[in-house]
Amino acid sequence: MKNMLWLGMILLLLSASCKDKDSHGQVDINFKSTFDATPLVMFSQIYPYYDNLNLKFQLFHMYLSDVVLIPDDATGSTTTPHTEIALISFKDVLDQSAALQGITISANKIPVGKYKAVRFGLGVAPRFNATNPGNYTPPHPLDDHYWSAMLGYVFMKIEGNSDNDGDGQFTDKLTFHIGDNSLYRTMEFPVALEVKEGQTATVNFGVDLRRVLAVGPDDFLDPRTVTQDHTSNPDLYNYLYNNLEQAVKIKQ
Amino acid sequence: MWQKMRERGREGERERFFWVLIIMLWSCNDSKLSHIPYVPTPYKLEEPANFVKMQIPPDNPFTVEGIALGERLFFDPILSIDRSISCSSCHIPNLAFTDGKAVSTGIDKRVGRRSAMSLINVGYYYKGLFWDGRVKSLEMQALMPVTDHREMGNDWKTVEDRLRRHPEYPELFRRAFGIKRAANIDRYLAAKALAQYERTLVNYNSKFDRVQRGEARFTAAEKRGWQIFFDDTLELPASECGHCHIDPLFTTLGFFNNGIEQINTLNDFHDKGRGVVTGRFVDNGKFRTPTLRNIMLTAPYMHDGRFATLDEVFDHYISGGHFADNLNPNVRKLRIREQDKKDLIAFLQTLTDSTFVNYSALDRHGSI
Ligand code: HEC
Ligand code: HEC
Repeated sequence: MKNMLWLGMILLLLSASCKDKDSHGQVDINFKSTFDATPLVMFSQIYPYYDNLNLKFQLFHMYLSDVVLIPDDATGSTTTPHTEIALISFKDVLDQSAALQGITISANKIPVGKYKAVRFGLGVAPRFNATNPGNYTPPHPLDDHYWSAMLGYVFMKIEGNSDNDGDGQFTDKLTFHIGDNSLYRTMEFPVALEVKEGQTATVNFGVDLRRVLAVGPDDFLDPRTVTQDHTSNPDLYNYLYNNLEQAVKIKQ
Repeated sequence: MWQKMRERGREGERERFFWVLIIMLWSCNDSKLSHIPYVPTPYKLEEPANFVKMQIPPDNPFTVEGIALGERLFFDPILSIDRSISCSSCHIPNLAFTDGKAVSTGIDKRVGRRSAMSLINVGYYYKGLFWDGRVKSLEMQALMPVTDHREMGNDWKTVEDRLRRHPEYPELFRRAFGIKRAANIDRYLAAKALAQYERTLVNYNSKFDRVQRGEARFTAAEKRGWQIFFDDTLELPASECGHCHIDPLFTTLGFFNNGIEQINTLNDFHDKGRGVVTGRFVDNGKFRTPTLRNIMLTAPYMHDGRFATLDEVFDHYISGGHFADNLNPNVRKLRIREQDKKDLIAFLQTLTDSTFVNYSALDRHGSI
């Protein structure tokens, strides 16, 4: 009888400590896209740009790799993995409500505790960029957007139209498809995030498509002269990708 | 009392007679099949390394017997009301499983709505089947032609009845799916078998594929065409084709308006395509990008077969297409000259695979 009591207590202790170790919460990382301050909606919405030009869009996407959270008490390189690879695509954002919802990547096995930063690679990490859709069963972020002639993924796509002659018809075409290992870079954002057992904590990001196309009124991609790039013109693709890095902002 | 017993006896006799009759009727119509062995042979499809992995539904795994039954059904006009048309009437193997017509014709020469689609690599088309992507799986799709009044004009009850009474099908269904009696044959099993057969139609032996694998070399013209097709270098003009017709499937499976129709508003499309499926205005006039594999065998072109030749197709793309609010911006005026066009066509010719000329799943997968 005594033995049984001891056994019971040990079991209780064990289960309690296990439970503590195993307790998890969910972390949602949300991206909303805007054009300047206006929510980005594909097809229908007209966006005033610089020099009295107006633009419309049909596609905007970017890839993120190795999304991790950095624990508050992290020493050295301790990180908590969130998502290995994600396609953040605004292709199906076709109305205001979808724009306000944004695109979310979730992970529900994040250990409870405090986190001080979110870190990710902007683009397709080189080890993924060395693969191709043949390595994946759809649906998978890497089942598409592979450009075989360049042996790599298109990290960022922007497709849309401009109305260069101001007649109200958006007949001028814009297509920018950019991806290369040399463009891959890591970004880190400080956060004050607390993950609680069984609850969802959210980190919000914004990405301003106007900032991708332009630095400001005196320095912008001019759709009257530049209408496309297939990662062929280094000045142009570096300009756009450096801009993308600046366009991604955390909103707390 | 005797009287009563006799009556009961007669009732009993009548009852017995009734049961015998039922059993007799049952056995005429529904022979038991359990004496036929059910030992399905699992089949492993050889998949090309650079294709996305094929999604095979867990409740319909490949078996040699299932594929054989599917092939038999695919070529059997028994599915159509007047026994005149089979799947293969519109999906002819020698034409990469198309029919060579602008829009297909069904029973009684009834004119269809759209052009028959190539079934090659159809097992990989995971973003929805048909030009508008309205159907999710091959199993669901296979149920539809039978009852389409422009195609086979039949109903499944009739087809099920024909298959159950057929001298050979009950055994084939037994061997493929282990049914116990002919009455267990139904449309869903037929659809499963058809889907298994269709998933074997994998194509990766064109000259293009062999070049990719290092087993063959492009001619100078083919190589130049390939470079233009994939916008490979700034020294050559860009064609933009690769954005939507990307290898290895030569389609992203995306839905786009590629500008073939002149309209004023998105309501004006003769066939609204994807828009009818999603209910979204901006999807009107979008169609699923078709593969360019075997494109030399599948004229005329587009969902309505409006272009008879590849020359006409190129003239369309070179013009930049008709403007619409949802015209895809990758369709834009091209600086493609005659020579470029010739080289592009030389490249497209490397996408022909003769595997499917006179193809038989039975031959390829061993005798069954
Ligand atoms: C009368 C001609 C006709 C017959 C008979 C016919 N089809 Fe088709 N098939 C078509 C047409 C036309 C389309 C495209 C229809 C659309 O997009 O609405 C099509 C599309 C398909 C597709 C979709 C392919 C893709 O890439 O999405 C499959 C699969 C298919 N058919 C299989 C079959 C099977 C199996 C049968 C026999 C049970 C059959 N068809 C009988 C004309 C036909
Ligand atoms: C915006 C994406 C896009 C681009 C760019 C594009 N296509 Fe297409 N293509 C499509 C779509 C969508 C269809 C089907 C349209 C329809 O039937 O309404 C199609 C149809 C075709 C067809 C007919 C195939 C068949 O089976 O009927 C051919 C041939 C073709 N394209 C060749 C080309 C070539 C060559 C180029 C480059 C000059 C090109 N395409 C560029 C999307 C595109």
